[in-house]
Amino acid sequence: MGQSTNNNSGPGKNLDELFRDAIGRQEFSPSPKVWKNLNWKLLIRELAHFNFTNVPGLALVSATAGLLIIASMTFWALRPNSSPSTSATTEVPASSVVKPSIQQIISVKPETKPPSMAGKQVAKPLSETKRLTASNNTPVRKPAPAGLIAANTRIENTLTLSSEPKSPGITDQAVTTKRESVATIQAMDPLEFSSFDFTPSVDTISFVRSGEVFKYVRENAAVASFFSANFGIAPEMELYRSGGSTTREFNYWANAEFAYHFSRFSIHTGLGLGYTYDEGIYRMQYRSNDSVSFYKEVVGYYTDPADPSKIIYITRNHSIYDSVTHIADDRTRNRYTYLQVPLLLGYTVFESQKFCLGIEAGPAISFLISDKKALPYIDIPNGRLIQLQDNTPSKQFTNWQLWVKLSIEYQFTRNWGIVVKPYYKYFLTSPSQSGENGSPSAQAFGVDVGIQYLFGRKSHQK
Amino acid sequence: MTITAEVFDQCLQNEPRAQEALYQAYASRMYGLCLRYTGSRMEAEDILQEGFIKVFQHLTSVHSKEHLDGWICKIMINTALTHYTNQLKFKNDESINFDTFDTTISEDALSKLSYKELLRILQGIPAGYRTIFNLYVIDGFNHKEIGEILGIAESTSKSQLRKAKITMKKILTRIL
Repeated sequence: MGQSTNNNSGPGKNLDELFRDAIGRQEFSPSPKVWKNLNWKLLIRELAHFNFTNVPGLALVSATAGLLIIASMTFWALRPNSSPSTSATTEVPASSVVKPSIQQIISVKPETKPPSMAGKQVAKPLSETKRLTASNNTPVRKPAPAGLIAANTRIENTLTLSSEPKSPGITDQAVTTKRESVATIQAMDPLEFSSFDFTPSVDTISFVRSGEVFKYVRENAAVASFFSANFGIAPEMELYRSGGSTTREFNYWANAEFAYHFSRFSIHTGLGLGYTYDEGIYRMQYRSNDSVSFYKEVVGYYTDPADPSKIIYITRNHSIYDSVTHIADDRTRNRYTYLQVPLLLGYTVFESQKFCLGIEAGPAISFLISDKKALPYIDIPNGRLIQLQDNTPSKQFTNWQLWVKLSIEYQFTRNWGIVVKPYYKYFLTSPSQSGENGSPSAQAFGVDVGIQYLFGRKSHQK
Repeated sequence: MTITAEVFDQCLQNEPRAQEALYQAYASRMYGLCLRYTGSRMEAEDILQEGFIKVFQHLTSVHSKEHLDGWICKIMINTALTHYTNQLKFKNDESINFDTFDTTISEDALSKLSYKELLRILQGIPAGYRTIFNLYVIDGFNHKEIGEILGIAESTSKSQLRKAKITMKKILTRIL
């Protein structure tokens, strides 16, 4: 307590004055940890009560701009090159080039197959198949595993080496003394395409550049789609704010979720069964007979032997009882079961062979399907109950929420994986009915952990 | 023990440094108040912490800096009472026989007590007695107001006060 001891009361002061004067305005130094704890709680309170309505507009604009910049930079850094390279080919003087017609180019056979020239005098075609490799100005694309043709996009580079006239009897293809340099991009990640164009209007584009003829073929639509299901459990902390005070509740959910994925996007729905509990608040008013005072009954007297002029009384104490009203509080535990149905839109921010990182957001609705309320324990010896008041806030049958989830997936087999989803819920309608302090605002934080099964493989190897 | 208008305005905007200044200005006195209403330093610190959270939450309801002093006192008293009502109700201390107790104490002996000893005596009596003693004797509420605050009958407040005083005198008699 830090202060020096001093004497405060003088003769003549009664007990009330003594205490009032001595400790009524006495100051004591609290421990420094009080401010530390208080400061921490104030910070948590600020964070817990964060919503977009209490943030200054300038901060919102700054945060949005910052997020956009970071997102753009991340996207640019992670984005593989999607434009074909053309600089790996041999440059040939323009004068020596005969431009074949588009028809000729499209009729070129698969790149690894040399033209059939049996029995004919033809120039040996210089066919080769190679992957389109790094150019001077284009980043390297990683070769995909053999046999996987996901996006099925191929670039054929046909280079004409000479303009010799056709010999009689030689087919158009055979007569052409050209070296076909066919580069194929296999297993092109559909996500790269989807970043730019989900449904290209044409499947084959040909063009000529510096004497080289390029054929740009898309054999199938690049958008991958599949279903997934996951089952998980989610412990959740729910925060209620009402009348300046914040209360916490812990909820536990078992969730079954189904999702349809198309390219980077996905749509999620499902069912969740939740268990939660809160305190039942009861106030009891009862009346009992209590001892409130006493009196002394004189039962005898005698003369003081030492001083005959004095009389000594023999007394006996008697208690006085009165009916006194008491108020007592009792807390019980109420249990509730909820059913929730979300509808979320997801977006894959990053995806690799094993990991997938995405965000999901959207509305959800919860239904109260059962509640079990415990009765208060009443033990009033020598008294009677006057009134029992139930101050427990009632739960709403339905409430709407807005969810934001961060989805982290890890595929440990081709179809099976684990998924961890930290999430935030903002309750658009309060789960509890309005009380004296109005309708409480609520929000919740939780982590959904579960297993995931992919129906249909993703376009690249998992 | 006061703060400037600038600090008050900054507190309204939840400025952390201003909040700390306000806390430092009032903490010692409010801690003394909390100690009177509780039986231990730990409880008093809990109440002090909780009370200041309410102070910062509802500071906008204070019309001017001049009313801040009394308003904070009121918040702390209410917090202490909430703490008390959450913990226990008016339970009589059965170990004390009020009927056979002689309440005569020498006032000269009382003058020898330090405020620390007086505080320990106050903290040593049951919470119900201590609460009513604090409200009536030190904070100046009358029995009717105490009844309204605590949700009890006026007569209950009187009887509890009387028992509080008897208990304290009994403790004083043992000390002196």
